[in-house]
Amino acid sequence: MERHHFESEMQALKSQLLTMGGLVENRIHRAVDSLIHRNEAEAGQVIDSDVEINDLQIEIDERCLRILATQTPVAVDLRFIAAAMKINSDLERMGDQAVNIAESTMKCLDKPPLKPFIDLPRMAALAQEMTRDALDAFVRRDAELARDVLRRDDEVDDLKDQVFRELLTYMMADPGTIERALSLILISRNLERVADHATNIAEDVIFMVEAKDVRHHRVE
Amino acid sequence: MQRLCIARAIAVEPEIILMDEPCSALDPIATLKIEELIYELKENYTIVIVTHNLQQAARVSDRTALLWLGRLVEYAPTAELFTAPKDKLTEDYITGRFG
Repeated sequence: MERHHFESEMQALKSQLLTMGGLVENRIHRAVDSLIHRNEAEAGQVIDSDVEINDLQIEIDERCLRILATQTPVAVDLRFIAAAMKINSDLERMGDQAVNIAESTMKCLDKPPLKPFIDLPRMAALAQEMTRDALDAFVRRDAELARDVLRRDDEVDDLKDQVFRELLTYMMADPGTIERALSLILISRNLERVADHATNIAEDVIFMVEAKDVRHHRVE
Repeated sequence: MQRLCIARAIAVEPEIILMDEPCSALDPIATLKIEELIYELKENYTIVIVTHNLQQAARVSDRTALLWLGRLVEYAPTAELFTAPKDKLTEDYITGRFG
C-alpha cells in the first residue's frame, strides 16, 4: 500500500530533523565550551563544520517538497510538514549563531580574560535546555512540554539584560575593556537568539499538535 | 459529454446544480476543464459536488462535508477541514488512515 511508503518518508524526515537538532546542540555546546576554556582549535572546528548543517538543511527541505508534491499530505500530516520546514530553518539559524559565538570567541582569545564567566554559562545552559526540550516536544508531539519551553524564554532575556548591564560597568570604568566586553555582549545576544529559535520551534510544535497558532502572543 | 450535461442543466436556470462525480472517467486535462468551468459557474449558481476524489474536493469547493454511512460527520470551510479537521473520523479518512 502507498501509505507504507508515506509513513517511511515521514519517519525519515523526522529522524533527519533529529540529526540536525543533535548537530546544532553539539555546535552550540562546543562554541560556548571554546569560549569558557579558551580553546581556539575548538572554535575553529565549530566554524568549519557549519557546512554539515547547511547541507542537511537543503536535504530536509528537498524531502519536504518531495512529500508535498507526491503525497499531498493533509490535516495533521500537512501541519507536520509545515512545522518541519520551519523547524528546519530555525535549526539552521541556530547553527549560524554557534558560528557567530565561535567567531567572537576567536576575537576574545587575543587578550586576557575580562572577568570570570558567571551568567553566560547559565544562559548557554538554559538556551540548550530549551532547544533540547523543544525537539523532544516535537518528537513526542508533546504540546505541554512545548508550552513549558515558551515560558522559559523570559529567563534568558533577563539574563541577557543582566550581562549587558554588568559589562557596561566594565566599559565605563576602563575603555581598554570595550573590545572584549562587546564580544561578550554579542555572544549573549547570540545565545538569546538561540533561545528565540527554540521558542519558535515550540510554537510550531503546538501548531502541529493542536492546530493552534500561538505565535506573537496570540491568545489561545 | 460531461460538459454537455452541465450545459443542459444550466438551460433550465436552476439555483442549485448537483454534480454527481462530474469528473469520473475523465483524464486530467478534461478534469481541469470541468473544474475551471465549476469555478466560473459558482459565481452564479450554488454547486453541490459529490466526489470521492479528496484532492478534487480540496481544489474546487468552498465548503466540504464528509458523509459516512448516511451520517453527516463534519461540515466545514474546505481549508479548515483539510488542515485541521475536528472529527477523528474525518482526520483518519482524509489522511488515508481509515479502518
